[in-house]
Amino acid sequence: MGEVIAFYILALIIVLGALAVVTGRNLFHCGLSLAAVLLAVAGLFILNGAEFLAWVQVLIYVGAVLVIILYAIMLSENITGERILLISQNRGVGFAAATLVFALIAFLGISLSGLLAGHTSSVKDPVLALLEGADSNVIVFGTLLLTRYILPFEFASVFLVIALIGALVIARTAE
Amino acid sequence: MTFKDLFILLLGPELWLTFLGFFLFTLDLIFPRAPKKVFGLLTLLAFVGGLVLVAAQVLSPDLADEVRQAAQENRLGYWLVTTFSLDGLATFSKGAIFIGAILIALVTVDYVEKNLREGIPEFYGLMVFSVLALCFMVSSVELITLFLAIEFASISSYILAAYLRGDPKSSEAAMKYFLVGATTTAAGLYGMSLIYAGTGTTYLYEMTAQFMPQLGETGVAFSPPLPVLIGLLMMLATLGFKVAMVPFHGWCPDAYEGAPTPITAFLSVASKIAGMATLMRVFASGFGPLSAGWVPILAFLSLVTMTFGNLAALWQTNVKRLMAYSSISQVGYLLIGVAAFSPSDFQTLLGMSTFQGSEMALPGIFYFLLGYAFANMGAFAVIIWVENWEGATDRESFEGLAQRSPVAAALLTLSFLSLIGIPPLAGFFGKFFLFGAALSRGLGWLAIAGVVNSVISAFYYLEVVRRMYFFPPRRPERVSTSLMVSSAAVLGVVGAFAIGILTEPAYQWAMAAFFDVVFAPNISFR
Amino acid sequence: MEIGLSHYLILSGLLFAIGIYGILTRRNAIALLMCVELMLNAVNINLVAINRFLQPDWRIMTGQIFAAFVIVLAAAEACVGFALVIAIYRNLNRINVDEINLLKW
Repeated sequence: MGEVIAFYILALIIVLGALAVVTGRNLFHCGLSLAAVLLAVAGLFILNGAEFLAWVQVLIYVGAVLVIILYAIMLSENITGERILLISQNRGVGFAAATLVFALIAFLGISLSGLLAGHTSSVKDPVLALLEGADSNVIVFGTLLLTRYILPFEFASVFLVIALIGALVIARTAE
Repeated sequence: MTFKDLFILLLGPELWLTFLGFFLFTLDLIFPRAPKKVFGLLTLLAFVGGLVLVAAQVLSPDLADEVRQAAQENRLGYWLVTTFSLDGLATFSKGAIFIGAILIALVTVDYVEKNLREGIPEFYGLMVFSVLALCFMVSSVELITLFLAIEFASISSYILAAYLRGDPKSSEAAMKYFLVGATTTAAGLYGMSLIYAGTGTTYLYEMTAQFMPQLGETGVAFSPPLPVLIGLLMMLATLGFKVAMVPFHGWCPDAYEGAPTPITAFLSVASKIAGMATLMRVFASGFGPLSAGWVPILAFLSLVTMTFGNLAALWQTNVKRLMAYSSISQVGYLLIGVAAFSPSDFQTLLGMSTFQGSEMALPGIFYFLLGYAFANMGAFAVIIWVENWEGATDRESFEGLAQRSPVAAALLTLSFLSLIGIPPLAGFFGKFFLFGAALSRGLGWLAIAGVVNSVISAFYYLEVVRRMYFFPPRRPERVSTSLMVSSAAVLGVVGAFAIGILTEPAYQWAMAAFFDVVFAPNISFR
Repeated sequence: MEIGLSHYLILSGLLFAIGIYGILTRRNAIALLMCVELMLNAVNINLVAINRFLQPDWRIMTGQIFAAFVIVLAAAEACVGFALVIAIYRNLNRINVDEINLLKW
């Protein structure tokens, strides 16, 4: 029962917050609504037993990504010297497309047909041998990341370095 | 073999690129006064070295066995090998990407000296890293690695496209490119999550293995489960964005016009080869058994893409923008080859049945891509040749080029003839294979549309040629250029000729590359 | 009543659709970036829920690992997007996408 209540509260925050992000007129308020959405999503992660991911979400998403966005808002308002008021165009088209996408996904979610196709494999996953006795989310997460997902892990580190260098190169002021 | 050896063996070219990329970044800190040309030459060295390493991987006879054995005795190695594949598709595309990158590095040096004043070492470093990302794209057979690679390639392209700092067009083009890219990425990721829901795994060939029993002995495609099909179509947004397929082409003309011209060439050659190879990997190879679900959609998109590209190109007055629409239409032709896929090809791919007819489209795509890369590089080298002199790429800058530099005019004409598809240039045979495959697969209407489109495309290519030969030059002086740019143009055209004249061996090579799977993709899962 | 995978899929579908609505209606580059973040969060909700409901063994957390990499991507995208916004400001002093029309849309 507790999970049901928590889910609906979080879902409400997510939906209302998201609507505020896409319809609000004040960019800064949109950013704050986004923060609420991100925190609620972290709550959903905890509901699903992904504690480590929830902390990653709070630290990186709310802590870093959102701060960058808010910084961008304030900096741009500072440069232009005026408050940015948001406008929405093509509301009809946007609404139609969004409804269509939602209907499609909701249909998938309700029918759930074929969703269980691949999960009946009876063979034991070899990675389980490494996870013998692992009892916490963080240990399992780290073990998987450094064994099975070692290549994407290393690749992501190069990726982040390059994204940082690139961002510095285009954002720095001319000498 | 230890894990370390396996790692070095499998990722040789990628490790080399990473090393040289970081070396380029640090070199500037150690020797701030080093002449900027050194960085260009090092970049060229990086790409040549990469090509050599790929060739070594292809030519080493027992690599496949060694890799297979290491994957069996080493658990980490097993995961590495099921994430990063070194099959024919990967090595052939890597070879093509490196060839394109070498030609691009040749044309970059002069352009950079003329147009960039700062951030030059980073420019070259980012070029090296975007080639690294493309290599990962064509090799990864696991969704997480694949999407990281696609994003890495996109993000380094956004940065490179924004590199002309004084020019508002450049940062604006990059912004549009970025916004379209971020949106399609989010859609593609949602699709991947649905595919994960439908199959329970992120390993591409593990999914294939799940669908194989349903394919059965008959080789008839079956309709996929709905989440997987919808997920696949959402992934098409990401891949379609990478290759500039309609309706995800919106960024293409702007980015091509606004970006530094060598980067435009990079987007239209290297990035497109990797995108097409990944599209083939996901659709034809990974989800081949589900082709009944996606073939009609790709056939339709192919028709729309080539028609739109060609019709829009008719109205362009800027040659860089014209090349953007031209490259969109070329993607349309390439998609014919993907649409002409059938599950029996798939069984051939996995070695389940022997190769029978010549109707198989996939080697045709490789052949076409190689020809396209050479011809397009030839064209872009001449465009940079003119741009370095004139400072502009509008049609008027090319007027009377035949008098100002007969060689440049001839090279551009030959490149355009190959892109139209005039024999004996590579473009003709590429189209021949693709349209032929479409005919033999009952897609006659698509083949006819391809031929009609090729005729339309002749108008806008030949309009530029007409201006070069029959219009009086705006200025009288000769247009000269450095040895590097001219040799890139010559190499491009010679390549297009060579592949066209040596059709048979080149096609056999594409075919062999496709079948000589260094590491069988269907490594027994579990 | 119990919360099942359907609930999570519908919630993520709703969030994704709201993101798409924002992408189609907004014109400000930073606002568009925020809409992309909404869509990426929909993806993450999906991945984590699918992992929990469809994977019998909790120790095989493919979906969670995937979600972590999506967060990596979001961070990289935000930082490059921010840099591009600054670059555009410097050159053009404007940020609404449809005010930028040196090149046709």
